[in-house]
Amino acid sequence: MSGGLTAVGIEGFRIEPELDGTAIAVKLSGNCDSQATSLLDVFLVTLHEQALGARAKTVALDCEELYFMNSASLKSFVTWLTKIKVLPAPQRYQVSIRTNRFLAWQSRSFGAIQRSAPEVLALVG
Amino acid sequence: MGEQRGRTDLDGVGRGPPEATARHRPVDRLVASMAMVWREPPSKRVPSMVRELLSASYEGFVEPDELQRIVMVAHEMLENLAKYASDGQVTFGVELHEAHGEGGGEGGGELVARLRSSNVATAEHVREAEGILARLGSAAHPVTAYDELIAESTQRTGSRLGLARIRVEGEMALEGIVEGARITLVAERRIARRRHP
Repeated sequence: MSGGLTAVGIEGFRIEPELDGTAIAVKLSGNCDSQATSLLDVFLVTLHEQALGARAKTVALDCEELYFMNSASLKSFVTWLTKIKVLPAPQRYQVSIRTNRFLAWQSRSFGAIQRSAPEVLALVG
Repeated sequence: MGEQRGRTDLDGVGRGPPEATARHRPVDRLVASMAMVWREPPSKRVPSMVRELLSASYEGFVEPDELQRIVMVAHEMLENLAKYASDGQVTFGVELHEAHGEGGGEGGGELVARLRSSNVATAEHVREAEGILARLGSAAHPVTAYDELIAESTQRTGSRLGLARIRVEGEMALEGIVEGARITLVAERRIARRRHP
């Protein structure tokens, strides 16, 4: 457990956050499909509130063990990043997503997400 | 209402005659196929189950990257069926054929992956699908239309990104055929046969 953020999951999908000062790390694993999208939506809302409350500078997502993501989840990420983009500069935090080079879909999907918010999202891996 | 088509093409996909469509493009022998029919919309669990079935069934035929595309496209089509199909028969199928012509043929390196879904939907959802296909087809590059749809997605209920994702991330030719209230989608791509199963 990290502040208001807690690990959540359903069968086949898990989100594990960790807060360290002004840095938040989150590991996503499994398959984020229609049964997991609402969980992701709620988590990202909480994550954003937590990041603002903690005056976080960075949020690092580890998606190396994320094996599938549907288009609704893609929208969830874009909605979150859009909220960050419109923040005043002092409140804005940077997001990085670590991808798995052996899962080629990740570069296509997260690449599309990154194009929607290049000023706040960097892809690593 | 007569049949209407909306089609987006992709350079290098299907090297048949110019007038060929994804539905009629010549292909040779069937390598593998999977077909499903429902009398009512499939449950929300079906896309995940079919994704796993496809992964296990086709991993010996195609390279991992191509399999990820096929699985993604199948998932998006099936989620659309689960969300938008109304009364009437619902069908979904995946076929792998040996590609016709250059690079294809028995022992050749290429296959054609063809995914097809068909369902009855409300007039609103049919119009919406036609609109997205038209945007993808008329954009200078489909990626541009995809990026615009992604940006717009935050302003609407539901993502409405599935078709664009099939076209752009799947890099598949995508054809929509509307016959009355029934919409049939055909996605197709030439893929490399797996060299070391």
